[in-house]
Amino acid sequence: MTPPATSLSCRLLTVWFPDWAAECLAGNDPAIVFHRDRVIAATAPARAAGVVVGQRRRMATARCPSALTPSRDIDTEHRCFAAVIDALCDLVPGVDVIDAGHVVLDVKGPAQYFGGEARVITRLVEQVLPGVVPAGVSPPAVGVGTSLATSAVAALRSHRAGHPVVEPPGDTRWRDGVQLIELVATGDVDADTADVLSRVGVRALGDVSALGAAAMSDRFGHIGACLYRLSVGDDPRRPVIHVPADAPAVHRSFEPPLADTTPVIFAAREAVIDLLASPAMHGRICTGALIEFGTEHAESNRRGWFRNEGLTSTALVDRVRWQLDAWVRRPGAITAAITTVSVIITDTADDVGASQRLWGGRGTTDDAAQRAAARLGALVGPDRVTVPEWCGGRLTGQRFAWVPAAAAMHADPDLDRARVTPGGGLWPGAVVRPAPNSVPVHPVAVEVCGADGTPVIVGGRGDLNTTPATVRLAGSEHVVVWWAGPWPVTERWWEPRRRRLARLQVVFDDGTAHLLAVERRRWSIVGSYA
Amino acid sequence: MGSDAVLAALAGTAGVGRAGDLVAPEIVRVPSSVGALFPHGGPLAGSVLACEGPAAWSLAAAVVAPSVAAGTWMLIIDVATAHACTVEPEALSEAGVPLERVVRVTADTAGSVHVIDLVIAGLEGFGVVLLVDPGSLTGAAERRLRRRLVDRGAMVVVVRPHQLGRRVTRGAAADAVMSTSVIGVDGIGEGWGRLMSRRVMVSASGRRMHGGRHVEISLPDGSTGGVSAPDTRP
Repeated sequence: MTPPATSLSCRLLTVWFPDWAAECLAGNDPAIVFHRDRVIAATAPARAAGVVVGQRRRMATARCPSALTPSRDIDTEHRCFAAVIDALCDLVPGVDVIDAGHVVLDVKGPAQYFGGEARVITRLVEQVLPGVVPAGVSPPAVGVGTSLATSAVAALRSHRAGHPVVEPPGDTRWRDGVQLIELVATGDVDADTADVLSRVGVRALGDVSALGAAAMSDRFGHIGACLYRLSVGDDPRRPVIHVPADAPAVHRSFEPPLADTTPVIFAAREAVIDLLASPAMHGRICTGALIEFGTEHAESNRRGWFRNEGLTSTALVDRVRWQLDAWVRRPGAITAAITTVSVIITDTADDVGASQRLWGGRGTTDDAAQRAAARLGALVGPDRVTVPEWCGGRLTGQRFAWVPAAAAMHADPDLDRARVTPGGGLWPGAVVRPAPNSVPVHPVAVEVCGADGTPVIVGGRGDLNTTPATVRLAGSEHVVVWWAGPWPVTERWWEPRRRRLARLQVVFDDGTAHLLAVERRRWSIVGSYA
Repeated sequence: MGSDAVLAALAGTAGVGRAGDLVAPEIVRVPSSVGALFPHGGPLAGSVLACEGPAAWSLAAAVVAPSVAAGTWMLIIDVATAHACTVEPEALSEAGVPLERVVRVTADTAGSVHVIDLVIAGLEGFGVVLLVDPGSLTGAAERRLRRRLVDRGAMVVVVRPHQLGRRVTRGAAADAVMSTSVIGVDGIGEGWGRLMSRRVMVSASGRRMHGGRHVEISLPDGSTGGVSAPDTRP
């Protein structure tokens, strides 16, 4: 079968930083980033010590005991990568962001302008990227292919070879030699299908094309048909620069313009939910999208996003947030409030019923909760719908903060879990568990007195002048039956805004228990064990 | 109309007939210590529980923890009042509630949106709704709420926090009202130790509960200390 002419005319260049997740956080220091206890990225010093991607946590930390193991911070990854995207967008008009550290761009036009693909690659690697890539990040892998899949495979081979790899245009032998195991690494084929095919002797795209479309479709259904299309160079996925005229899209205008990003993200969330629920998307999943913002000074920011597994509403909102965050942080990029946001679906795929994973993964329950949270935000305002986020601290009410759900919820359950996972254990000086389960919005002032009515005072050495016997609050008096403490703590002793306070646990005669704090001889209830 | 009216409206939704209910009622997962209070070993899906007393928050967290840990999302509707307290996520986590599936809405009683509208909107995606200090209710909202709660098979837990200087009123209209009273504390003394747990007597009442049954549990871990029922012999 002759490959379609459109695929031959398409030339895609992949720029891939394989260890971006680790290198953007740690640079030249040895560092390893794990995902589900497997290495997903490591800096050059850690790799030199024997750490490889896919290794178990125990093995990796044994190979490089001095390595830092920062938690994956996808927001920081995208924030750091924004400068690279901006630099690429200045050189090439059509840039498709796959992930932080991974972009695809249409190189056909720039190749004609600069005099060939080799010159574009040279310009990228030697002139454009060195100025924007943070120190300590390894040079990227660069590959050119006639489709997204072969371009990614070329980048994979470039990473191994240490130099750019280009698929010769019009030469089907290069494509026939692509191994299925390579397509597993690039995420274009799932490992189970590749395993089954390899056991029957089908190990490369050439073997797949030799089987024929009917055989692949009959035996492997939708997956087989897609794989056959890849094998003949008919990858239906297109870069963002080719926006179909009838592409589903939503546009939101803001009057008055918005100077804060949270309501913009919230409006985009509502718009995206409507867009993905539109009749045009029935039976389809969104795999590519173009997001564009505009300001009242006619500044605009436009970026394409692609995700092979599909972009759910939450994943799209994540990308809205990353793009907007990067834009407002870029010095001088935005000088006025935001007036418009547009989301255009540029690429879709058949919804073949991506099944729920038995262990982990995102399910329909999660999506329903996300939609309900968005609806609640429309009712009461996005700032009033919040989710907990770990902050760290010694005092009650400081360790977790309630942050707007529109900005903090992620598409990936692992990222949501990381948001609430305490890092670094209990801080020295913190009151140990159980924590008070009710914290007053404003500390409730009380008087703590001894049996003779004298106010209880905490001395400089953390001792009490008398035994607490009663607590007076708003005209009522409560008898203290049990008490423990005081536990003094000094925060930021090296700064002018240092705080010195002491905590005291009390149990009243009615069974209620409270955590009191005294600061500058003023007592207050800072938490209740209700 | 006060919070009792909200409870009454919510309570009327439980057990409304559905075709599937003819076979077996769906039981919501709760700790076994709390389940001993219920005729079916746990509350029915679509029912309304009320927790009150000095350990209301700890009990509510222990009740919802198994459902949320099993994958259900929880919505906390916090009604802002003059005595406003916020829920401490750390305590929820210690009770076994996965915080990544918790969302909180702060409702303003003076605002145009009624708290029941928030409950109805929340039931579209949340299997457990924790309602703190509910406000008033209108008839139309009540009817919509009844339909929605039955359709979704969710659970609403109304928390009446015991606050200093405020008198706690009983919400007898809920399917199950669990009143707490602290009978002992562990780990703390007169100037030594620290509060580690509280032994709480939970008394159950309501139209779907065993009359007068009570159970002793330890909070926040929710372990049981035994069940006792009143002697009903003449």
